[in-house]
Amino acid sequence: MSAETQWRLEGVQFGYGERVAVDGVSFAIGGGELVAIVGPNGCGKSTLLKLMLGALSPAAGEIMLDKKPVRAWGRIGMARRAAFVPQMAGTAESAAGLSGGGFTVLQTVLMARYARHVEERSGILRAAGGLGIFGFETGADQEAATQAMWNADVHHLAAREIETLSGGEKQRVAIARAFAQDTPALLLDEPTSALDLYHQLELMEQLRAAVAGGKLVVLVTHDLNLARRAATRVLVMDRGKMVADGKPEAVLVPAVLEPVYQVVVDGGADGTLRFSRRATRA
Amino acid sequence: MNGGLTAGRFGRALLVWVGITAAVFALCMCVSGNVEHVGIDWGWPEPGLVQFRLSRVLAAAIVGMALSAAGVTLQALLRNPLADPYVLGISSGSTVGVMAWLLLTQALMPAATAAALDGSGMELFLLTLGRSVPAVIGAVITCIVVFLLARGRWAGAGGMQPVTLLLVGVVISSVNGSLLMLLNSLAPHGLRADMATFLLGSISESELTKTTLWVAAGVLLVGYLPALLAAQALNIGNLPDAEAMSLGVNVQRLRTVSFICASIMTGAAILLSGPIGFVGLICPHICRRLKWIGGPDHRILLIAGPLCGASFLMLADTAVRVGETLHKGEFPVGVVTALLGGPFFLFLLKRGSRGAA
Repeated sequence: MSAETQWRLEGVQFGYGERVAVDGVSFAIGGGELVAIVGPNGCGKSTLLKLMLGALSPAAGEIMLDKKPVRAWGRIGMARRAAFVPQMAGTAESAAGLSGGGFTVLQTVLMARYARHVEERSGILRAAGGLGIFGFETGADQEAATQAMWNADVHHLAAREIETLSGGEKQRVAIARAFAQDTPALLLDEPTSALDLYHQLELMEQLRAAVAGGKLVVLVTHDLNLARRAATRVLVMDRGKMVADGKPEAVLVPAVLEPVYQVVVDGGADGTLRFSRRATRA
Repeated sequence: MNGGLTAGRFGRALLVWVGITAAVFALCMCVSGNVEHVGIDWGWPEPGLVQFRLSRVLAAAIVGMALSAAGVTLQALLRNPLADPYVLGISSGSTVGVMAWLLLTQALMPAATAAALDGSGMELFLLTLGRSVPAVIGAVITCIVVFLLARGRWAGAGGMQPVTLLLVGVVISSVNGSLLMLLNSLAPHGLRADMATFLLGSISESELTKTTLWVAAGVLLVGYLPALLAAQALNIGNLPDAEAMSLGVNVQRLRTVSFICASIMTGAAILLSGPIGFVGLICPHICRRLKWIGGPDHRILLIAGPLCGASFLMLADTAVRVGETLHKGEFPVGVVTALLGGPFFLFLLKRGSRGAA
């Protein structure tokens, strides 16, 4: 299934009230690709990921996953096809700051198995729609969660409550949860923002292995050098529009990046990009 | 203990809570006040009294279960341990329904009401069933109003936000409070005392019949079973919306269903006892802390919470019953739970604000 996973976006538009966040974006991506989406703050990267997941509905245009509109897959269907790591994951944090949670790392990672549980049910229990069912975790669930926690290096935190973790540790728990979901596609929104260097490199290694295994990885990032090293394809966004799409060495060049980021870009001989401030911003 | 939920762990928690509830039930059946010696009598009630005491203890159990289960559901829905049917105005909405019904039946069918209170036939059934309908309708209408306001223009693109919902609930709660005062002042003199007792939350044998208990238990189950089936989704609902959606949960549908379930369960409780405060706050919190037989997982919490609520209210009402006998007066159980719950609420609030600081 994984090699066939394919998203196709056609003229997608979305706005928050008057403000247009995504403006006529079209592209097609599929299994075996590591796609980096880059662009300045507020250019619509995170909104685009939410649209791809079906968490937001486009005002115009079409988003197809495996030849079916994203909405038609339903929540469970989507959760079996794509895992999501949100920006600086607020894993199990209560909105009011008063913890209604108290879930441990292992319990949080095991939540990834929910869609699988629901899909395995039949008849009336499944007809409960997106509400799911009452089920127990199986040995296979525990095994998948343990493996995912090892891969994201949070296995030693398994019994800790989420509220007691640091920002970087929470981000790794969200990554472990996405791994445990075991889907053909992984969508990550700035997954390295709170990670130390060791864990950044570890994560990229894991993502490369996933892509080699036929999965599709979509990565929103501000680290252009990371995108250049790791991605097989880069999409550049600016003010809601897709301004460039191609291989990293073709797209991450001064001619594309300077007008988008309003900085001076120096593509060094070793391939590493260097940035400096412009005297004035256009 | 900290991992996933296995059948063994679930079975252990279920067994312990059923055991505790059964023991508390037996204890409450056997305890009574003795006026002559001014003390407590122990022992199974005399045959003539069994029916009365059984009704009262069972009513306390049903009310405790309903309020606690509604509390668990609302806390999950709002991601806030301070939520309960009172804070959101669902209890007061349900009470408005019952009070309006009492006034209406008194005005339109004084004869039928009198006949029903004498315990005769069809009228009694109609009155009982009649009272359950406005209890649930009051709760559901309040729930819909709170829900629509919270998810309207103020909610933004991300849909209904827990904090907005809580604020709207507080406003609706005080509007309902005013409506109750208005209804009470409109009531004829004879009814006003009954209404005042009802407003404080009390379980009295004179109001309880087999029919009332069956109707309340039925209403409770209608609200409880869907919430229990959605327990795993309620766990995930604790995460931010986008994350919960990506794990397969339809967040808006979950909120709608759990809000309606909580309203129906609150209606079941109001039907039997009037508004009794803080049970939905104290019991779920205790169960969350007892990790061995509770914890944050709603698959256990929706079993442990209601049984803890049943035990708690059976004990509180037995204390009230003994007190009433000794002092030969009315003593609403809502007063006891409020005296315990008020400080507990402040304790949770203080702990929460310290955590957030």
